[in-house]
Amino acid sequence: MSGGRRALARGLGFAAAALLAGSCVTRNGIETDTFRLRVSVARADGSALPGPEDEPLCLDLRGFNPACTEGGAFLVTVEAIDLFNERDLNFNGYARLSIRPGTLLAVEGDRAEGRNVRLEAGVAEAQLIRVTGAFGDTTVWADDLGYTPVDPAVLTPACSDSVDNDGDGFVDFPFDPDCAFANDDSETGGTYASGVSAPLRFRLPTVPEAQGLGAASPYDQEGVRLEATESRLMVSRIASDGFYVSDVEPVDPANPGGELRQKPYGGLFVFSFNLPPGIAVCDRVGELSGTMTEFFGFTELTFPGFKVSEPWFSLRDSGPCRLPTPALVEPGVLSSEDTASAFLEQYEGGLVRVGGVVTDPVGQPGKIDTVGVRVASIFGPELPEVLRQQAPAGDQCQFVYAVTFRPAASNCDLDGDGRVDFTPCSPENTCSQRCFDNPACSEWSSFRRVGNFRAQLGPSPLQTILLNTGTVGGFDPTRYRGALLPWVTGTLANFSGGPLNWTIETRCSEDLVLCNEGEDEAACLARFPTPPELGTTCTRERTATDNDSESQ
Amino acid sequence: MLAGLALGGCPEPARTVELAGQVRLTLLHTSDLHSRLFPYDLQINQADAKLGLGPVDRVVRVGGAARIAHIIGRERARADRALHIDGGDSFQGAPIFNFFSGAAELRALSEMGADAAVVANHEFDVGGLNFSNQVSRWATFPIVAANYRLDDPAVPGSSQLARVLSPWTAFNVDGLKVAVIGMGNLSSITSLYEQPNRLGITPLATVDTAQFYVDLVRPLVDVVVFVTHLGLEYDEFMIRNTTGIDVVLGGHNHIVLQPPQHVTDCDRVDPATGEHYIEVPSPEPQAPGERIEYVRRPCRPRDVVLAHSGAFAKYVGRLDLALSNDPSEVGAGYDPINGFEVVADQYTIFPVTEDTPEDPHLVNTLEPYRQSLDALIDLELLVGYAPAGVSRVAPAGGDSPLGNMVATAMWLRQGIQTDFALTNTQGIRADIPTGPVTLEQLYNTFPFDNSITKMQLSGVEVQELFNFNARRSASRGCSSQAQIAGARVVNDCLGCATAFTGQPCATDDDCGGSDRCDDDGRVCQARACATDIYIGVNPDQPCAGDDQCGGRPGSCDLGSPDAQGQGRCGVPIDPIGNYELATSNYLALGGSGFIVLKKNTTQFDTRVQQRDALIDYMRQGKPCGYSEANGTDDGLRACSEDAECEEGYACACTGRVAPRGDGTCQSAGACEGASGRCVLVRCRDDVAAFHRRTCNQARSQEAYTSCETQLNPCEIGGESCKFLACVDERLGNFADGRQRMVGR
Repeated sequence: MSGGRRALARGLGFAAAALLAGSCVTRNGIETDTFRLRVSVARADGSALPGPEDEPLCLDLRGFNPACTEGGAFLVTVEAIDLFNERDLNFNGYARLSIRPGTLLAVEGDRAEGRNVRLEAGVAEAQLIRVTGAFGDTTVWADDLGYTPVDPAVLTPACSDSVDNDGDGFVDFPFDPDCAFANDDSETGGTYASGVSAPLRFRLPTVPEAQGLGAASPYDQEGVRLEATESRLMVSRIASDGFYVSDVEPVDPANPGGELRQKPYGGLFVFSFNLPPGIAVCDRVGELSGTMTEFFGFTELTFPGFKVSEPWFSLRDSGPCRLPTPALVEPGVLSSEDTASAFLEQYEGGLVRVGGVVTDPVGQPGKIDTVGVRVASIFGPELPEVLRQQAPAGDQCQFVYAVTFRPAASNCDLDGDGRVDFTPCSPENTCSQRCFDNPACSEWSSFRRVGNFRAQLGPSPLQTILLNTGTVGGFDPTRYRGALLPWVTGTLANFSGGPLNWTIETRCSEDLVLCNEGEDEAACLARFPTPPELGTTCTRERTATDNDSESQ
Repeated sequence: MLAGLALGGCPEPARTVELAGQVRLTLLHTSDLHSRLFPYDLQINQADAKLGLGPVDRVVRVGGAARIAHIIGRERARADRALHIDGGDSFQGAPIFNFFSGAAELRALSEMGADAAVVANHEFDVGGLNFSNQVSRWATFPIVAANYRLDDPAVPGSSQLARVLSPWTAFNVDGLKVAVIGMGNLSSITSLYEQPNRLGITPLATVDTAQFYVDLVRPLVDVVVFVTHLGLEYDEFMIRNTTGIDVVLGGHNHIVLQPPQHVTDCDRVDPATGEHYIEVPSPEPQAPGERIEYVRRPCRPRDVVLAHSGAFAKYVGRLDLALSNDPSEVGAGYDPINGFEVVADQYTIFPVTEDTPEDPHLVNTLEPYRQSLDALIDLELLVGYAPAGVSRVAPAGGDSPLGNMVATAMWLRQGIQTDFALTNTQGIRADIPTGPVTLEQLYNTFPFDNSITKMQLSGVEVQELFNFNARRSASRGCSSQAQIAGARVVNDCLGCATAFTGQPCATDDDCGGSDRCDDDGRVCQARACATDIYIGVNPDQPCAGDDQCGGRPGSCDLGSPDAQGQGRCGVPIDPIGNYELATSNYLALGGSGFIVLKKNTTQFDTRVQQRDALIDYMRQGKPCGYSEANGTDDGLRACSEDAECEEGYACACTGRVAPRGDGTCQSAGACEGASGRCVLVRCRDDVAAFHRRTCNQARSQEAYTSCETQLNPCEIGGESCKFLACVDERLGNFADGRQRMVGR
């Protein structure tokens, strides 16, 4: 007997015993013939829903798209169905409604009670439901939980009366499993018959829509499948724990070789924990799904499912890599928090660059600025001098601290416990704040923990941005303390973990343009009047890696 | 025989059902319980907070089998058709496993009424024989793994494991026939791919095996469920390359997929015809040793639901499936061979928190184990106090604070004291939360009973060791797979170019041994490597930065600065030098692929457990607030009242402390003659709260008051904090960049 057959025989030993067991129709001990619920849905005006070939329903984006009204209200009919596929006329009870995906806002109608409908003689017809946040194939669910909702202000529900009403040894919600909620007036449970509707066909959200066209996704903590067929999703960076995609504007037919732009809010970080297998910069992604998450203010797609539809390396002979031109972050937009966040949010997860030469700076038309990006000149592991003084009377702190930084002394982890204590009035918090107030200062422990350091685009403390150059092997930012970098390109990440949120993460050494050692800064900038061509920078052929996780 | 598997045997009412149309199936899913049968303290991170386990950063008591049993029972009662399926790795991770070898875990799952489970890697931690014995004795449910061939062809019937494992099982759930097929772990069992191996398991190809069993059971059942311990990526890979699976309940990654993924199966497309297909082994007979020929089988893509439900007894997942065999619901192209198809699904995750009632039956089942553990070991013993916790997460992908502390504890252990130490990152299983550090927490952090092995390595072998670590780290997101002490290294995940890099190649052999030939077989690619390896420091070469040690990255060791804040220059390894290494016996035996260590013939197992080394190392630490400058015997500042202490410290002495209404402690009166000592306020409060738990179990207010009076938690807190080790940077709780990662 082959190994496979032996395995089959072993399997059948268990399986046969199981399959010979009976198939019972007892419905939780309740005398009812209701076997399932049938859920039918129509548009609010009674017309039919779109079929697979029809234009899908629009997305309301949880209110972000007020123009979408047709995707918000529907008529639902729920029927109790018996084993013979006929309506169970003896069923009189509640069915709880919900939708997946999305949120059921309200149920309205003569049989509505909260988010429940009351079936009489086995049916509740044409009850209006209002929904939001639905997308893709959405289904309406109905469940008989044995739930009899009552207003506790009027009547003490059986599931909150401290009495074991059904004598099963359990008292009230949540201990009695037959209590659906605390305001359930029945401890006897339900048939748990259930049903779902045919899918309501909504459009899939694009990356900008999933970004909420702003700071927060309307689908936070929800699983989404993103539109990737019509949209052109290009991989712009591979990280150790995921990758970035950019939703690129369509190619202009009149200028097919021209520059491409990323759609506003069209960048997205896809967090996959580990180095994502089988995907490379410039690949086009044809399928993308996962859970939208706001991670400390950074919108990302977690637990992704993705598929490369056009691997660039297999097509490279047919033309150059077509990534969108990185957006230039000018010092002017960083002048205030409002303008900065308005601009940077558009490019969160997208390709940006800083540096270069700025003409016509804000408020000074005709003037030409050479800016570049200057690495913080106060940036090092040594501890600054901290002088403690008694706080003046009335101050909310007992002590105040005078902090004196030096070029290599910007470490605010004063007690050496590995992190900065942000408790108000603490010396470490004061130190960190003083460092932030000085645009030339980059707090050291932040660099030690996550590799971010500060760079200056203008004189204001706001006109700074964090850089992370961990992917550039030979670059030690402490050796470039106070130095000018002509251009820095990378993807834009956002974490609300401190006073500085925005970080440009370089992708490879080509994203970092450096002056020669000892070179005059003006001459250096003149050598690089324009940013480097993106072309094939940072593209690297990658192959699928194995899951080789360890047992310990 | 299969035709004889008729349906019937229903008690009352005795009606036979032929299901048609829409039906519901509920799958209750637990996975990776890792012996967390009793509730434990956990500092809540953001992911857990979003899933409802507790407020972020707060330490809360989560988990516990009796709570899980309550949820399982409740949700079974609230479901139409329900099965409880466990995703494996119920063994290992808490002291109860160290003392009872899995008996309690299997009894708990049986008591919960688990319907099936898959076997996973940690089930074999005490060997295959132990697992089969424990299953035979305690498991009341089938344990499945289709991808292990267990019989030794030379000695049929000899496998102990074959007696307790089956490839699949099936259930008739109210008329719905459900097959559950297991896929055991392949990636994490040491030496699994060596033949023969210690377990007598021959691993089978994932996709081929999965499709074989799907084809086998499809005609028999309505729904095909896979319970796997392959890991997320392999779950997806398996789904995409097979057809006929309805649901996959996965484990191993310790993650919650909320909501579950929908992965399309039958994913390959013929570009010429646009037809989808999978590849299956050719049915034509093939000669032994011949490469398997594959043929294409056309199929229709379907969405397969993939759920993972977390780990460490923190969550129970409930997956509700709306199934139908009605072609009008299932859609065009419905193939009746697939039985019932999933038309919709919804997933609920239930956090296992203090608000969850405990199932009394399971409490009773576990009570003897609890008492035995109490008699065997004082798990509540305080080892230290961690003012800010200790994280096992490496901030830059290299060394982590907890990793450094563990490696240092091995390196400096009395009687071991080697040149450097190395242990595997994944062997450190949990952070140490902020607050009092108990023996139980250290078991949870370090569950494996690994001992420390010493061995001699040449400089060349040290390079080989770190090269291997760099390569392994590169494949894991450039996150180091080892934690070290006494050494410094740069792991270059981008690879070190050689003379062969970029040269044409057909196989790895063409690339000179260091490079590898890429998958398309075109050019040699540089592999990840270790550079700038330093072992030990030169005491005569103080430094403040790498530029004072020649400029190479990591050459200045600032981890233990002297009084002037100066570090020391590291000593580069000498290829013909001799270095003594302390590592775990797990790695020494080739665990996690460290074959470079396995082949070493100078090994000496010290029998000192890594966990014990860490405990002893911690207990040697000084209390928070210690300074020689304080001029006292114990190093703490002498005081009479709080005002004489630094901010955040209070003056503690016996009889001069009282609880506030909120449970924190306040000094009450002066300590006579400066007999008090300044202790960390948070330490006193937290240790008091820890001891107050005893009183919280009191059944009446009177009993509570009596307990509080007699126990006096605030006084215990104050006195304990005078000697409890402060687990902070001075004890090595920091990441100092001793491992730099390039190319993250």
